[in-house]
Amino acid sequence: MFSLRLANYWLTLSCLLLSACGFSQQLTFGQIDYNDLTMRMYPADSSAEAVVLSDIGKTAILQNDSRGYYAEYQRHVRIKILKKSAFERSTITVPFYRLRSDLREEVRDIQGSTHTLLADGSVKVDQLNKDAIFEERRTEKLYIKRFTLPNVREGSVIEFTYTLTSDFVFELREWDFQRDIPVRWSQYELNLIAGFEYRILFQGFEPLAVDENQSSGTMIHYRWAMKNLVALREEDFMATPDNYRAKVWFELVRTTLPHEIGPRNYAKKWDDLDKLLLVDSQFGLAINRTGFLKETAATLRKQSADTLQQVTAAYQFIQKAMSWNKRRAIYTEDGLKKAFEAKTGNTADLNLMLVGLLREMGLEAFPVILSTKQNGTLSKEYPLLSRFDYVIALVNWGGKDWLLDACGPGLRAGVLPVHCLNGEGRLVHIRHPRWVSLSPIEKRRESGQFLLKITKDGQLDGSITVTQSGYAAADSRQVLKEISLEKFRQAFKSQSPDWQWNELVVLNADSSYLPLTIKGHVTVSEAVSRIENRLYLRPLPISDYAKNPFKSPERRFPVDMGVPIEKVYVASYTLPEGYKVEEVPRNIALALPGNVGRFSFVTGVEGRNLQISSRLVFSKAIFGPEEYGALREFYNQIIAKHAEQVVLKKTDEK
Amino acid sequence: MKNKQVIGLAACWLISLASRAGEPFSVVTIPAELSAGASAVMRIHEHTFKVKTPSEATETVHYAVTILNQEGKSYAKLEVPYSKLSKVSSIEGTLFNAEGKTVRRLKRGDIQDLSAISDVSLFEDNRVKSAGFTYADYPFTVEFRYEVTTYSTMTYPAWFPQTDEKLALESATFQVLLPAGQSLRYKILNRLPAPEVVDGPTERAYRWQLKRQKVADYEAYAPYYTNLGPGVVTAPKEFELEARKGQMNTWQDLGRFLYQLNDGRDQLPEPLRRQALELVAGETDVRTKIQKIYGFVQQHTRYVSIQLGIGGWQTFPASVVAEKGYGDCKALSNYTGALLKTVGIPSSLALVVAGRNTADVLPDFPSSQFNHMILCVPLAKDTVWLECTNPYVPAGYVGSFTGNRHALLLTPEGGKLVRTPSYRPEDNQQNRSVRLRLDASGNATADVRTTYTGIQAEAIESVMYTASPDDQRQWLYEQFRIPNFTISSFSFQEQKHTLPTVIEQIAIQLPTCATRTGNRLFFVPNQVSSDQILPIQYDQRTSAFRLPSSYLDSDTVFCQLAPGLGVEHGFEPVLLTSRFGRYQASVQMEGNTVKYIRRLVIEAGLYAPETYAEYVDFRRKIAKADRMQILLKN
Repeated sequence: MFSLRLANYWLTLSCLLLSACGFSQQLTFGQIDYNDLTMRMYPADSSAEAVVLSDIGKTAILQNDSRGYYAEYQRHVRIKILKKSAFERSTITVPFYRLRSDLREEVRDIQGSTHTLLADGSVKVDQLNKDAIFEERRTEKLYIKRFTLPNVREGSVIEFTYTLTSDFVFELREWDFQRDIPVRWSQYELNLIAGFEYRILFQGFEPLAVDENQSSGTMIHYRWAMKNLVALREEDFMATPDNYRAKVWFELVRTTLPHEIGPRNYAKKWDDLDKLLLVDSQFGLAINRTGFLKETAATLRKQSADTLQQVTAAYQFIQKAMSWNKRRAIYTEDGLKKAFEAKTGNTADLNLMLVGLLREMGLEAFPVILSTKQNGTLSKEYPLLSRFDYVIALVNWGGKDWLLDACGPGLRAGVLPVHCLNGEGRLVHIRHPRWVSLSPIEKRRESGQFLLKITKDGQLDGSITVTQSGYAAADSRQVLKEISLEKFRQAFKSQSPDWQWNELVVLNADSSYLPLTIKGHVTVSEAVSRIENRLYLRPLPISDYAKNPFKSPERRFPVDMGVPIEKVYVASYTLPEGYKVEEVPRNIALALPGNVGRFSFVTGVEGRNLQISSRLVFSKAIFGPEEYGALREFYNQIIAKHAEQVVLKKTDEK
Repeated sequence: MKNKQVIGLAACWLISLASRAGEPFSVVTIPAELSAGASAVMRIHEHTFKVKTPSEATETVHYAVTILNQEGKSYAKLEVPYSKLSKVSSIEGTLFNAEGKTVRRLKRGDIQDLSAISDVSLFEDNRVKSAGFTYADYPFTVEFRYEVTTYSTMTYPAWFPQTDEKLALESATFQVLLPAGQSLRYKILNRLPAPEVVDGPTERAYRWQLKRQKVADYEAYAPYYTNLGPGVVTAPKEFELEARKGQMNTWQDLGRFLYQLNDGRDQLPEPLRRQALELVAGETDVRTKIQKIYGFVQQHTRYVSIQLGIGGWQTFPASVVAEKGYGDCKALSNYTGALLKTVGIPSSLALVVAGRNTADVLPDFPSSQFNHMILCVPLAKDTVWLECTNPYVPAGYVGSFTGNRHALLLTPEGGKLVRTPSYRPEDNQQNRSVRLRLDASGNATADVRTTYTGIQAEAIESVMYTASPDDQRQWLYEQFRIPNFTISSFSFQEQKHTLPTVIEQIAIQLPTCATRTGNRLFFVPNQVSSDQILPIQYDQRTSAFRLPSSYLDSDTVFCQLAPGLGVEHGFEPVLLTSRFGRYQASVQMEGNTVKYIRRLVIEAGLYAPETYAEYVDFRRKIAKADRMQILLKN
């Protein structure tokens, strides 16, 4: 999925020959191919509401006396509008930044036009006028240029160009080849002057149609292109579609500039990054400034001599003392002390504070940086700090890594929230850095116990106990933090509107260490249907398996269920006087290939007692597209089994 | 006895300590009944609106709110909207801890100036000043004070101090100060006590007070204003907007002002006039002419939001739309009106509050409550309403977006408050026919053909026009509550009609559609249209509830049984009637085919709170009837 090229000015001579024969696609503004005007439907994707005919970007790093080094981005886009629903695509927004007078971006030379084929075969061209270009100050620093093209109809081709200049040469913008609509041609050119060395990274499943580089004088010129890209769409059970998008991005490796003495290195190897982080005042140095936690540390230490209990105490202390502001970052915002005073902060504030507290307690604790699921997959091959968006704490004790995230409420110490479970994290250490597995060690567990009496008139009556642990309990606790207990009970009740609750209690709502239990007494008046001398009922009074979560017959991308699931339900029915079991669903045991998922369904009859149990267990959470068919069918069978009926028959009427 | 005294004394001592220290925002002083169930308590809220001159008013707001837990976090932030016609002159803020001691004050640099533009809008003048405290040591209190000067007096404030169901309120006051001799127009809602009116030498003051309000839960389906809590809306008698004077005592006054503001902006370029005339040339039927003009507008323009010009109330000239091919709701309505005028059909611009489940205007309180413009074309016998921002719907259809509500017509004689069309159950249909083939092991295939009309066609129409086939398929999978099924093929087809009409055809496979136990098969004939989502139950419903639209669902299922399969047991026909509508379901054998018929009519309306339980019961019985199964045997 990843490939790397070093954009090194000195290594390119050998590539010259190779690239000389690459074909070039130059477009002139305003000259639209007649076939694109007559196109009524995009053949490769007949459903597309619009197609990017061409998206051409040209970036150069330039220098002049007044501005110094700056990047100039030129963009030339042509989009074919096929349906009315794509009209919104003719309003274009270009975000840009103004930080200071010497650190700013500018958008200029905006040109645009709409080309429409008229019924008489002539082509109507409407130019974008200045009065349709707006500049908006979105925040103090973020600005937006917005323009909308005139007279866009179904069939129009819209075209626009603009130039953006930027002082942020150290952070080149990335180029997305792929979009949410099909792209026929996407091309990106990069011109570097001597002195700037970037690492160039590609992502995605699509091949490059053009891949060339050549140097002339002190410049080096790259050109990449992709063609006929399919639209990228989000699917259920997908962490982020951005993980699969074809794109290229750039990470500054080194500058060798005339006014600097010798080359200046930006991040290089993982070890370098570790060092960089450890001397950063918002990371490593911040962990050392935790004197304000000394008293707390002493108190917590005194509470127990057991290391694990101390770790837990520290974890709970931060969880209680601090509230997470939902921002993910590896750097603290205003330092740990300030966050502690405000009782709130980002991930780094909370978890670096936890590392600091553990150290103040005399324990060996370390920060582990990671990229969350929503932030995308991390590549270990390319050391890039910018790919990380989260930091957690680690304590190694008893030969085991204890991973701690004080931002994730409702989970016991050592269990990470789902968004953290993304491959591996990096333990940042000056001498012993390493990669730490972030695989789930806990499941989403739910078990239900139903003790029900079936009455002669077809009513169910009895007690229900639902016990959640692991991620299931954490999810409920998260909900309970947001809504009142009363609302939570109401929501639970409304899951099964047929049930009349006589009593419903929630136990252990506050503790992350005990399972969360919801129990009560119910009467279900319409669970059993009676036809003549027989009673019919579904084997389990649950709605979990009412619908297959995997609807599409096919899947292009992996299924990410977050964490493995375990669901166990046991029902014990007392039959009404004078009835016996005539039929029950047959027992089954199913397994997915490799035993990664197992399902069993068992019934047993003893006198007037009928026992039914259903158990579903997964040992993993992520399934490749090749496993999808089996997974869907597995669920189909589970659902079908729960839809089968139990038949009771009156014994005295033979 | 003695003990009690001691406790009493201790309590007194605590209270006096708090007040002596001059810390009014200490958390201890909040009455327990107010903090119960609340995430924040409004300690004090003082809102003053002062009309200084006919064209200038200032609004001063001061409040302190104690935030009890994380759910009340948003109160630590202040957002003051402003625009080109207003100015925020000062913002102050202080943070207090639980004891009521000052922790921090807002600094100048803490105040951000942000754009309040919506993402769909191309350009607006609206901005917002934003400030707040980052603090999470609950409970704590924030106090804010700010002043906004408005250079337009067309809109007076509405005051609803307790719109949040998690907010309790200790004390709040609202004052409107008018120059002596003037009087205020207002309308009280949800049992706010009447104001105190005080005449001073230079001004007259209207003063409302609200004290000790516990949290009040929202109730589902409640009419919009009910959930806002006690409050008042106010309006001027006379006002100014960018040097234009207007009156607002009646809808006629307000309508006249807005008519004049938009009058004379309907000139069209000559070629376009000729094009319009050509379009309807030879056509005698006025409805057809309207359809043609409306179709032309749908074909040649698109909606782009540009909220500019005289407080957002004046349309762009029609010539601008003619040149650029886009406009906002005012510009497109005005442009359509200009085209109709060209072909000799008079029309009026009409203001509404748009949205599917939003508030209607308060009809007995003329004031500027609108957010959308449509076009009204009066005919000899009836009226055609045109929604000029929708590129898909048939001419005359306003649907759930602007139908069944009040509209203010802008005419040369002034404003007229009228009603837009409401739709009957027969207009909003889901008419479904299912041909299902069941094999002996319980697997089935089915062809489902559904005709949707009116409001029931709106969702599917938008999916049909805007979603990709992948997303359409995904959407279809979400629509049905069938446990296991696969869509083999599907298609949507639009029908030309006065109401939006879409025919949806799907072929589906239903493995284990009927479940086998022994030699019996259990089969639910209503596989596709089962309605199992029930309304939330309340122990005690206090507010009226609203069913927004009437509809009619009808289903006919022909289930062809595999040879050898026979019906052992069907079910008796079900008939449910209530004030909310009517439900029927029945099943019968026709040769080798089981025929299932279902019909559900729901009547829109505003229903009394005490009938809510009856409504839940009605839906519950429908849900049960939808699950009824028949027994097959071979």
